[in-house]
Amino acid sequence: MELSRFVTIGQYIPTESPVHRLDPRTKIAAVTLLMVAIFVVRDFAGYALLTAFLLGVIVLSRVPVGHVLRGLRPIGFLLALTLILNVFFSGIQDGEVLFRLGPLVATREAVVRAVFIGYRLIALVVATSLLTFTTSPVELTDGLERLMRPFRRIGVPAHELAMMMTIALRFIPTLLEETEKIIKAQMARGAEFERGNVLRRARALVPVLVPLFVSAFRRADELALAMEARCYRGGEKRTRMKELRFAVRDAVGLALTVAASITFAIPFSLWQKLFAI
Amino acid sequence: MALRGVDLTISRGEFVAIVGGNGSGKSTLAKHFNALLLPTEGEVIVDGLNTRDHAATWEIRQRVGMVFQNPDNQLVATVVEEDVAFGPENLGLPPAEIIRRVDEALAAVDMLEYRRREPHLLSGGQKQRVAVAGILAMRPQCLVLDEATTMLDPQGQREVLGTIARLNEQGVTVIHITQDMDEAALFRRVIALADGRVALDGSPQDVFRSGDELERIRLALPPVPVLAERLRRDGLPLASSIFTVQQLEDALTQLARKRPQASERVDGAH
Amino acid sequence: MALIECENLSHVYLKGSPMETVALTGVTLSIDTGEFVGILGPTGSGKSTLIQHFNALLRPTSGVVRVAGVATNDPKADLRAIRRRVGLVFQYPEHQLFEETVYEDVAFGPRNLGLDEEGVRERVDDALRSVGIDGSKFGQRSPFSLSGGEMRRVAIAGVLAMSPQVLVLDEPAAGLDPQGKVEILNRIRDLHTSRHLTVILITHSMDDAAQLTRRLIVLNKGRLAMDGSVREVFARAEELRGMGLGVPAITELVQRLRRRGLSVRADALTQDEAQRTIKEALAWN
Repeated sequence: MELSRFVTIGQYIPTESPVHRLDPRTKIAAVTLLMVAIFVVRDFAGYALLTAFLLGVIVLSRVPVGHVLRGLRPIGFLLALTLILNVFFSGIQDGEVLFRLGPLVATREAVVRAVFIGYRLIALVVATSLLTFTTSPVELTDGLERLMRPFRRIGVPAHELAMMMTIALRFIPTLLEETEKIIKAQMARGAEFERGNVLRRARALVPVLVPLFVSAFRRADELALAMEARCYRGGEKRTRMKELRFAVRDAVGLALTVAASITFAIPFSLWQKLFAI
Repeated sequence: MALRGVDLTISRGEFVAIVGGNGSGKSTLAKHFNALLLPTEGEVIVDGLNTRDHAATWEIRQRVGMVFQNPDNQLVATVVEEDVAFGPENLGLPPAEIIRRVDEALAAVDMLEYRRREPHLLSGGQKQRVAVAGILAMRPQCLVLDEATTMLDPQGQREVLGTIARLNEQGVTVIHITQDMDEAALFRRVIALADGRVALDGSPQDVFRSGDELERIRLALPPVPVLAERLRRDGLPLASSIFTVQQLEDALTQLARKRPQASERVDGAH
Repeated sequence: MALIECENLSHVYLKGSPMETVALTGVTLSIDTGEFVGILGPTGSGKSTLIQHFNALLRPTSGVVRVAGVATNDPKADLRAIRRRVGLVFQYPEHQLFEETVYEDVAFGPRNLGLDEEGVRERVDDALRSVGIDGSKFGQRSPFSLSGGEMRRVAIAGVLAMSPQVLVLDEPAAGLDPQGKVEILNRIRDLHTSRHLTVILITHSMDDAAQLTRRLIVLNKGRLAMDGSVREVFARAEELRGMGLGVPAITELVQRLRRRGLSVRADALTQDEAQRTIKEALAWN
């Protein structure tokens, strides 16, 4: 009752915005492209443009900036670790020393690189978050299915995979609720889950996992029967209520993303050379 | 052996309850109605189609829809309207038609305002109504509910029963499998199964006539007919068809008026 | 001696978050040893939340809950001891079975209490006997090979094996067929009379409440709406109906007969009482 109220499936924020209205395939492709570009960016100018682009998308998507930043909290530790490792252990020994921490040396080059690497991490998380904030799980699954469809010829079960994803998403809150109930029932019989070493705690999970699995298999059986009763027979000849359709805005969005990616991937010095001629 | 020689005919438009205790075979029987199970012996003919005919299976399942006992384990999508669309999508209908049917079906079960809700946030009764909508969207001729109210609280039960009564008025044949005698009493025909056979078949009055018979087949008479039977054995002239509170109330009040010795208030009659 | 006391108990789920829900407000009640109490209430009235306070699975957001004098939110409270004293059987308890054999599953509780194998065996045998399961026949079988009704009884035995003083059950007859319902409710009645267990029962069936319990607590929208003897509570039929509840069929009948002018006792709860009072009112002998 408590846990599952928390969980809405995915991080989707149902608002209306130009970004929300884009075809999910466009967004998936755009994010993939951006991820590549993020890794290629080398100079300040590039990072500045990248930041501008991401901010622009955030504004366009009407997702509150605060929300996006809060999404960075889970990687806070990873970020700190990355920075520390790259500042002190990157192997760059020469150059202007900015400060020392005991035996550890921090050069300007190392710090700059560390900041860039850290920033790339942030940009990655922001870009993928924007995808999940503006695309509902249903749309994501549909988008992935459509993208995988041409690969059916080589044996990729696109429809089945999409169906599995949908059902998994649908049952996450339900299974969470059930887990809570089972935990409480076993606690009522004196079970304790917080005590003891790792081994003991792992064993303590058996009274929770076994009933959960038993019930999950029973659910699967019943669900399969219900699906058959509703004439489900796989993806053949199946239609969809909402067909994905490419619109002008998708072409525009994709084009803009491609242009932007190329722009910040190419180092400023190269641009200078290109236009100085 | 779950079923032993069941002979049964259910006609279009009927409003039937099938009752039975655990192991009576009622759930097995229900699954024969839409070819989820095939007979070991004998035949099941649905609207002229034989369930053994594999080519007819999907046609049969479109005509006879089924709602199951566990409200959670039949909802497949992450959003209500997507789940209701599941059936029509399986039938390969064009998108515009699917949208129309989803709207109709949700309206018919009074769940339109929940169309974009996630299923796990719904109550049991609401989930079952969504399941019914999912079947309605396939435009079936018959709706079979396999103990669909067993796991619901009284409010949920009322919601579902109200919905299927309304659907029956609109022409949908309804077959309701249940263990609850009070529910069965609401239907026009009650079929009682025991040990894989049909033990009783008739109107609720007929079926609820004998408390001993029902107990033998692991069912129970609701309290009112039991009381009427006890009073009858004490000599009170009560009709054997009494089984609702209203009926017993009326019968006893009439009796009281005929008894001058009965201590009545002056303004007795209602 | 009050076994379970609630003083101004309030419980809020996810306090401070956007999904904050108030489940209970200001509930004050006390239950003594040996009582047989029914808890009624429409869905969402807080019944499930309330019973989880009785064995300290939940702690009050405000107010106090005391079990045998010990406050559940006292940091020094021995929760294990509380859960030993108050046994809680959730709805569809058979969904928590997990062991390879019936014996092992029922032994889970006593083992958690730290009893030695001799003591565990005693408890398991006793618990299985009290729910009518033959330990010699079923002990070594997998709990998943049993029928639904049998599985439920094994699950209840699992809680009884803790040797609790209080047995709290959330709709123990849910999903059973009419005979199964009768059997399990009779067993619960036996446990109350023969083992002197205090029993607290959540039920949706007014008829069951009338037949088994002696006192009713009615919750509505998280508040205590009624608390009194079965007769007192069912006399307030209009109020109960307003909450979406009802009264037992027998009681409804005699209440209606009274309104039609017959001088029957409007508080008849059982078949016997109804039979007697109707015959008297009709002067039928």
